[in-house]
Amino acid sequence: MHKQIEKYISELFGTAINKPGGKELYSELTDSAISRYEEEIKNGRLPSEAYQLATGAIGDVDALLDSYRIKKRRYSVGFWLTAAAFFISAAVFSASALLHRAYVPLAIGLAALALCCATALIRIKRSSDRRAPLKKAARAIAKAVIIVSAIVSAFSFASIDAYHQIWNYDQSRWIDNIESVSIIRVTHPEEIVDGVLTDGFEYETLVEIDAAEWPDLLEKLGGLRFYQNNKTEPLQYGDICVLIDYTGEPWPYFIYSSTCSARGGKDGPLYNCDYCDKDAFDEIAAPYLK
Amino acid sequence: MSISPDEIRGYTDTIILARLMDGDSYGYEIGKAIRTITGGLYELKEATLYTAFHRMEQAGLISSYWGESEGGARRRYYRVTEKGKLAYSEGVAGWNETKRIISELIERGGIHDA
Repeated sequence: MHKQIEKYISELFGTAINKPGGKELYSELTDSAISRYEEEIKNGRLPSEAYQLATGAIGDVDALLDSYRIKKRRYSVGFWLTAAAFFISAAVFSASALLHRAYVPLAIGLAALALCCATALIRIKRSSDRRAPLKKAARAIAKAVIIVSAIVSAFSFASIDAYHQIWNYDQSRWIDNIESVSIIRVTHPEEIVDGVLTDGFEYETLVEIDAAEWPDLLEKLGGLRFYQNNKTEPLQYGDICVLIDYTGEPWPYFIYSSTCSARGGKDGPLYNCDYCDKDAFDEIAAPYLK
Repeated sequence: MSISPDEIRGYTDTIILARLMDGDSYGYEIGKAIRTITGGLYELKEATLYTAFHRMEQAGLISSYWGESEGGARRRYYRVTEKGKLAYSEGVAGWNETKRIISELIERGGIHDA
């Protein structure tokens, strides 16, 4: 029961225990409460009754701490760092989804992680409870695990976000790492069955360009925002398309690969290319748009 | 019937000083003495007691030092200072005066007698 009393008072003190003067005050109150508990036990009280009397006699610890000018934070430094890391990471990930700069949230996440670990280490070092250094260390490690979990959760936003970006065919996305570009001609049209586009088109490859053989391809098409296969306007026989094999940004975005098309009509003018860099498309595909 | 803390709040310091006038003591012992003397009718909460200790020490009414408990653990003892002894005398005198005035005020027929 002594441990329970210590725990009860420890919770009343919160982070104030680690403040100057807080530890001594905590010890004095704990000593008094335990003495009261033992007194009540000697008087024939049941342990539960003695516990209630001992803890009930403690009173308003917040007012006591105020009188000593000991500030008690409701939440620990670790909590605030975790919350900050969580929200900042989530916010930056959202921004990165727009800017497509994965290293920004990665760097911030790692910085937050370093801060959290440093905080945990400082807490261990500053601990005045020399009697139970292992217990303190275990607590600090547990907190660090929670903090890391929160950061990982924040990072998971990126995965979820990337998932929606990659597989949601209604959205257009930036192309990050082009591996190859192919000019193709549709030989079998797509079909719409019950209002749903089937990916059943077939094509012949007119030319395939390896990115490695065209050093400035990435630069040239880096700004090309492709238009994913349109669900309402299927590819027709004879359409000329640019198929781009690409991968997304490196970790923490998981590696993905997909094929998409910017598209030109067989008779000339581009269409369904709302986001295309038309000049880039012309340079690559125009010779075949005849 | 227990005693309402509001009734004697203004005399907390004097009550504590009274206990220390008998000799140095520590928090739990003072709290226990108060409970014993009042037959359990009045109890100073630990937080109130230690708040008073701090206030009185700041005011120079008491001083503290670390000693050892029977079990060998460190324990803070409190000692009344000369200034505290004077404050105690003033507190007792003030209470006696207050007691006399209140008695006169609430005694039946007091107004008619005057």
